[in-house]
Amino acid sequence: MAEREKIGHIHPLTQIINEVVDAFRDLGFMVAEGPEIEDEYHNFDALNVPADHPARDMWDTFWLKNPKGVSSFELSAGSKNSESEPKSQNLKAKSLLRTHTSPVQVRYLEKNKPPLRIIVPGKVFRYEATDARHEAQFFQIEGLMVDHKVSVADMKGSLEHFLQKIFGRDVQIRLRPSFFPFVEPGFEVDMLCPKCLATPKSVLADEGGFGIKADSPKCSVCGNSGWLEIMGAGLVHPHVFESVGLDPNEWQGFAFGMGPERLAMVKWGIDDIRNFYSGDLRFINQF
Amino acid sequence: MLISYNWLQKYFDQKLPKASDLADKIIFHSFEVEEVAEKDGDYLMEIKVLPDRAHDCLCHYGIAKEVSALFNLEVKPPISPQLRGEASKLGGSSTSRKLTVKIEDEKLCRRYIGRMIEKIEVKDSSSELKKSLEILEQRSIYNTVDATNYVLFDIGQPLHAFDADKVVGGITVRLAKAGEKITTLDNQEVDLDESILIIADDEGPLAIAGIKGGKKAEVTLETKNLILESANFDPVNIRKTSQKTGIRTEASKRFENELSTEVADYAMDLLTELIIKEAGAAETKIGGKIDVYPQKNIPTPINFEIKEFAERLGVEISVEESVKILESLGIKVETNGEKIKVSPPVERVDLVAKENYVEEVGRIYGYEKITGQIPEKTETDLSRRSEAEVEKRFNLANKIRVVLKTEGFTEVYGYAFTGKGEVELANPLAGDKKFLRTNLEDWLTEKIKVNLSYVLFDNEPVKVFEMGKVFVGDKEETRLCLGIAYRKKIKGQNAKEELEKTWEKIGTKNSGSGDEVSAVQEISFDKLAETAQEVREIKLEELVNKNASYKIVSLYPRIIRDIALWVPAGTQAETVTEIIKNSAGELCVEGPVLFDEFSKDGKTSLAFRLVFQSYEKTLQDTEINEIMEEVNKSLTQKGFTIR
Repeated sequence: MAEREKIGHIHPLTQIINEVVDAFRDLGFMVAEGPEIEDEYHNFDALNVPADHPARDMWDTFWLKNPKGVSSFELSAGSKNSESEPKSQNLKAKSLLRTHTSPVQVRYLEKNKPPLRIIVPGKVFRYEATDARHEAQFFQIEGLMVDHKVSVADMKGSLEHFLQKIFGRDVQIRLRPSFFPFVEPGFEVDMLCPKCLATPKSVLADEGGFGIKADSPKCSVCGNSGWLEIMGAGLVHPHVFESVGLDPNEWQGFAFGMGPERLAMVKWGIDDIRNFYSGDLRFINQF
Repeated sequence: MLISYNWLQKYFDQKLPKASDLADKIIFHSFEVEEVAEKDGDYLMEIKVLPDRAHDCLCHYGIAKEVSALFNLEVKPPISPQLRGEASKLGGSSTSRKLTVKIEDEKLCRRYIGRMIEKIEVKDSSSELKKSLEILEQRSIYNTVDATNYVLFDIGQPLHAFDADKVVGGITVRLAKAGEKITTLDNQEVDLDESILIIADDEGPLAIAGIKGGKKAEVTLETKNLILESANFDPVNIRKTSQKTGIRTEASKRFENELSTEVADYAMDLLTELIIKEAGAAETKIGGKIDVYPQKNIPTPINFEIKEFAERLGVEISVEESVKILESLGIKVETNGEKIKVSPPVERVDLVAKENYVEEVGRIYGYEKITGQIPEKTETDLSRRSEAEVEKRFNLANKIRVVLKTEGFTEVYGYAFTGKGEVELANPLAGDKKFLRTNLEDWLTEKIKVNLSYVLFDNEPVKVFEMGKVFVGDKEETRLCLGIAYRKKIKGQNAKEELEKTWEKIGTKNSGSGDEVSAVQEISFDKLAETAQEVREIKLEELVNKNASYKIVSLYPRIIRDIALWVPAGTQAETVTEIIKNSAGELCVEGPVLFDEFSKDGKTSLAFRLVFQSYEKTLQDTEINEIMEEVNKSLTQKGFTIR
């Protein structure tokens, strides 16, 4: 009968995650993980995102209905679903689905003494309507390095190393000022568009940098800007160290977070994020 | 926040660089600029101001100060010192009514400046004022309201004006009493409670403090006398009240971000100037400023070592350069040997610690000047660390994946949200996604069914696996689930047996549900990992497919056709495959797949299956018939006989 391809396939997200982990293992990072159901303390407060602060609006949260250790629970009257927080009095009650993998930084530092370097892949959840670019459930990969002296140059070099390993030696990054409560300074990290890098130079302008001629066909990945926003990063905020009982004058660090779905979509030109959770072999078997 | 280029230009005597150049620099040193659009002889920039700078940069003056630092241009104050001096002294001509202001809760209201203005004319705003607001997509109402909005977008201080004749007695800032209500300017009835701060007169609520004014003292075209308010409120209380009432305004947005108390006075002067200009008449009387300011905000200078800048950023930067940058941002600097003492300008409530100053220097200096370096490797002692356990789990998961891949399984990831379970969400996205999954089997079984409909041959199984968390009781457990299924009973194939053999290949034993046609079983990965010995790192090459490429899956249905033919013995199947593929054309998305081969009387029979599908439409049988005609022709031309 049909002696067809008998080999199976590993999910593209698993492949990306392993490429990232492998690149950071080069730099001495080790894998860590944390729970998907979190408490407010680890997901927000310890990361310098106090309750009743506008910074909380940066993450649309799924709240659990009857979390253990919380006596009464209701979303505020004027709230639109997760726009407000519950009357949870106990910050340590497991009351939400983690909105990022950053809580694992705190958990890890609570149990392990620096110096250390960890890379943390894991599922995260956002209260967001699903469409081609957004999912309510997706993966993140968090990174954390803590040592006596850590600078932005260390951070930049580490990120360059892993992006070049995955997308090729020509890839460069640039840092733009941004804000996340658990880092200061905070950055958005852009990388050179891999699709444009692969495009023959005749399509591009011949400026020294990476200008693209106005009349060239629009790149589906970067819209001809030549750059892609790929992740967030920064130097660990002293409040995070203080939360775990470390002296910020003795310890420094950098942290970063990225979305493997985004990396996969850029790497393979995948148009719709919902493919990753479709369970559709017509999609997964291409990888 | 929408920022007008022409409005920014008002802050500078020198001509500003063109809007696109402005935006470029802002993006790399200050904020993301989402769009620059030309409109009515102006340029509008959509600037994304994040929570850390929402207190001072949700206004044109804040952005102008950034521009000043970025381009080395001197920024003018919002109101000239001379005009400000004059405005401050106003109140010489006393109003007939004396305003009183009382703050009952000094923690919740940190400052309140009130001012009486009598005998003004409420009417349409001047075209200049109208235009300023309309370019920002704000509605012009009339001069007094527009003036308060103008100052808000100019220097970021929310303001309010009450019709003085509708205010009974003096102004009191207090918490509401149980049972009090207010009808807002938008005609919304709001029930107040004791946690909500209000502006009240002797009779009751006039406004929800810092959020929304009430209808009672609404300024209308008939208004003759005003009470102006420039105040400052506790950010947490404002945010809580805003969420509770569901009312979010430009005012509440700024207060919840901790606006500096120092801006209020400035703003009152600016507002007074503007109201005189827009609504003033010869008879207009300006009252004095009643400024209740219990605790003056004095910025705290901090000290640290100058080398912090170079060390934290990892770049060479001179002391002079650092000082120059800080001063360009309005920061006072004193150096003393290796130490530096910095005092922020009063509006910058975010500059409280040395890392804030490192960011100020770094971003203005330019992050492109930092060269990346690989951090020196440190020795890590695996045995000491909790991640040794996690490393083992991670490697074990990969080891299992490699084994399953060899056995023909494909990995899937499913949704944690489902219709039934034990852990319930308070705010699910949909009614059928209220719970977290308690198993992996349910979803996997569902997906197997869907995937079976795409399989090409009945004897081809769908073999899938998932590793992920399930939520039972108050525990999250990582499980591994395998599934094998055929479209129907196939002689010689037994899904359940195959599945249970696969468990052994992974290194465990499991028996569960299933039959010859389909079997789906799951085990605890956590338990497997606990008993596993140390697992080496799996090489990347075993996990990653370097030849993968992606093509969108068509949404249109497939048409499947078979073709069988006699060929002389010894003919290579590949040759025939080539011929069929070439004549079948682009619409043949899969195959030809050889699925049967036998020999008889010196001839060989070959049977192929082809799959046709279009990206644009549903294909018709007639179209495919034509293609198959072509295929037949190509084959018979080579001397083969179609069966």
